[in-house]
Amino acid sequence: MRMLAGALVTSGLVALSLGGIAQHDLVVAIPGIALAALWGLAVALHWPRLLHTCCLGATAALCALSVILRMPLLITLFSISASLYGWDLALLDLRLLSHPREATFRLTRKYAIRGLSLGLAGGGVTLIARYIQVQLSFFTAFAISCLSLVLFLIIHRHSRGVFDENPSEAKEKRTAKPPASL
Amino acid sequence: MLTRYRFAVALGLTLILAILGLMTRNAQLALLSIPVLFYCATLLISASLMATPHIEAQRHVDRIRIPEEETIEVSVAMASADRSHPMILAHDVIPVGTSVVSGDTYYQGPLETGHLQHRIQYVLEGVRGVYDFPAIQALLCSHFGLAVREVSIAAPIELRFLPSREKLDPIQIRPRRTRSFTGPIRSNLPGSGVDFYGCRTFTQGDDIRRINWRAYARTNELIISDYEQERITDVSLILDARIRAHAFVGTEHTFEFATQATASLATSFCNQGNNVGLLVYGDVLNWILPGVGRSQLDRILDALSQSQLASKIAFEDLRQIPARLFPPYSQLVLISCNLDETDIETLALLKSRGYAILFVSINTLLLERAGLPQSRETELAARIANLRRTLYLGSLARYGVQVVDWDPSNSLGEALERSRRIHRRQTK
Repeated sequence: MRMLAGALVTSGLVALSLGGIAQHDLVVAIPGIALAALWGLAVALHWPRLLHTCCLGATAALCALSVILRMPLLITLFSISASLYGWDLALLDLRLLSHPREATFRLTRKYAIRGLSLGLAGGGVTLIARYIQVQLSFFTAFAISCLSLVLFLIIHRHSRGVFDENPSEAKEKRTAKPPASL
Repeated sequence: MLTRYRFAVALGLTLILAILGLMTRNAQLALLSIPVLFYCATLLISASLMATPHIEAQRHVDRIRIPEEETIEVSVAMASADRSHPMILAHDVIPVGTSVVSGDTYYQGPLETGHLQHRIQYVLEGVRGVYDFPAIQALLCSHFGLAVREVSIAAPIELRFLPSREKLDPIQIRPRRTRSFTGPIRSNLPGSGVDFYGCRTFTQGDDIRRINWRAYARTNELIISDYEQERITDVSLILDARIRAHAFVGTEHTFEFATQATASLATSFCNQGNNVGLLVYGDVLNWILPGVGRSQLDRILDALSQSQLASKIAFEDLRQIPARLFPPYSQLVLISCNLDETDIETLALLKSRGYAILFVSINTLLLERAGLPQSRETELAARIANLRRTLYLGSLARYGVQVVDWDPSNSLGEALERSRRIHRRQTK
C-alpha cells in the first residue's frame, strides 16, 4: 500500500512538472518536483497525516496555478486525481501500521483496485463535464458559490452520524453533562 | 475517524476549487473540483451503506494455566451479528511477553452472519506472567467504495504462564512441631511408624504385637519397640523479591531461577501432603495462607506467576519479615540469591526462635564468570566473591540452617540431596 501510495502521488506531480517544463512554466515545474520528492519521502517514512494533507493542499494549489497558466487540462486532472487517491492510500497505510504487513495484502489489493477504478470513473465524469457549456454572470456565480457553501455545511453536519466509528459513544460525548464541580 | 477526516478534507478542497472557479469564472478551474467531488460522493455513499457493525468474537484456549516451557493453542471465532461484510482485516494483538510459535494472528477475508467460526488460530509461548489479552482490532471495508471502519472487538481472556518446575524427590525436613495428620515428616514422637524410635517397658494397654521378643529373651522383662510417628507439617516458603538480592546473569535474571526453585519446592511439599504457605517478600506482603492440596498449589503457582521484583525501603532487609505469620516451630524455606550480614543475623534469630530453616541459595558465580573475559582481575574477583559467599553460607550452617547451594545450570534435586547429606553430617 505504501509503494502504491508513493507511486500515485509522485507520478501525478511528476506529470504536472513535465507539463510545466514542456510549456516553460518553471513556476509549476520546480515546486512540482520538490513536492513530489517531499511527499514521496513522507509516504516512505510514515510521516504524520497532517503533512500528507498539507501536500495534497499544495498539489491542488499547483493544479489551480497550472490551469490559470493554461497548461493542458488532462495533465492537471490526472495530477489531482492521482494525488487524491495517493493521499487516501497513504492515510490508510498509516492506519495499517499496527497490522502485520503480510496480513494487509488482500485488503490492499482490493482497496487499490477500487480506488483506481473510481479515479478513472471520476476522470471520465470530468471529461464529459468539460463539453457542457454554461454561461454565468458574476452575480449568478457568486450566488452558486454561497449555495455551495451552505450545502457543504449541511452535508458536513449530516455526515457526522454516518462516519462516527461508535455512534453511541459519540452521542454520549456530545450529550454528557459537565461535572458538578465545574 | 479516518473516513470522516478524509471526507472533511476532500469536501473542503472541492468547495475551495469550485468557489475559486466560479469567482474567476474559469470553467477549467471549476472542472478540477469534479474528481474531488466524485471522491466525496463515493465516500459518503459507501459510508452510509456500511452501518455500525455488530461483530461477536470469542477466544478459545484449552487451559488458562500453562507451564512456562509449554505452548498453548489459541483460536479466535468470529461472526457478524447483523449483516455479512465483504472484507474484514482482524488482528489479534498478543500481549507483550508472549510470542507466536506457529500460525497467524490475523484474518483477512469476508465475514458472514450465523454461527461463530474459527478464523484465527495460532500457537503461543510466553515467559512467566499473567497476560490479559486486549481487544481484537479489526478494519472493515464497505461493499462499495472507499469507506473503512475500525472496530475493537472485545474477547476477554487471561492466561497465566507458570514458572517451570523440576520434579523433586520427597524432601526430608525435621521441624520441631508437626500437625496431627499422618504424613511423610518424622515427628520425633513415639508411636506407629516405620523408623525405629526406641524401647520402653511394657505397660497395660500396649499392643502385644510390638513386644520386642529378643529383648525379652535377654532381660526376661517385657520390652516394647517404639517407632517414630510420621506426620504432616507447616511449611512456609519465603521468596526473596528484593531487587538488591538479585542480579542479571547474561540475559537471564536470578529472580527467575528463584521463582522456578520456589515452584518446584512448593509442588514437592504439596504433593507430600504438607500444609504449605508462601510469602513473597519485597513489594507488598503477598502472603498465601498455608493450606493443603491441589488448589493450594494452584494458588501458590498463581502468586508466583505474577510476582515481581521490587525495591521498597520498608523491606530493605529481612528484619521486617513478619515472623508472626508463620506457625511456631514450623519449617521455613527461604529462596534467595544474595544475602548480607543483617539478613544472616535475622535468619539466626528465626532459628533461635525454634524455626527449622532451609535456605536455597542460588549460586550464579560460575554463570557470571563464564560471561566475563578471562583475565587475572576476573579470576581474582571471582575468588573474592566465592570466599565471601562461602563465609556467609558457612556462618549460616553454623547457626543450624540447612543450606542448599544451588547452581542453576545443575539440577535442584541434586543440590538438595547433597545439602541433606552435609547437614546430617554437621548435626551428628
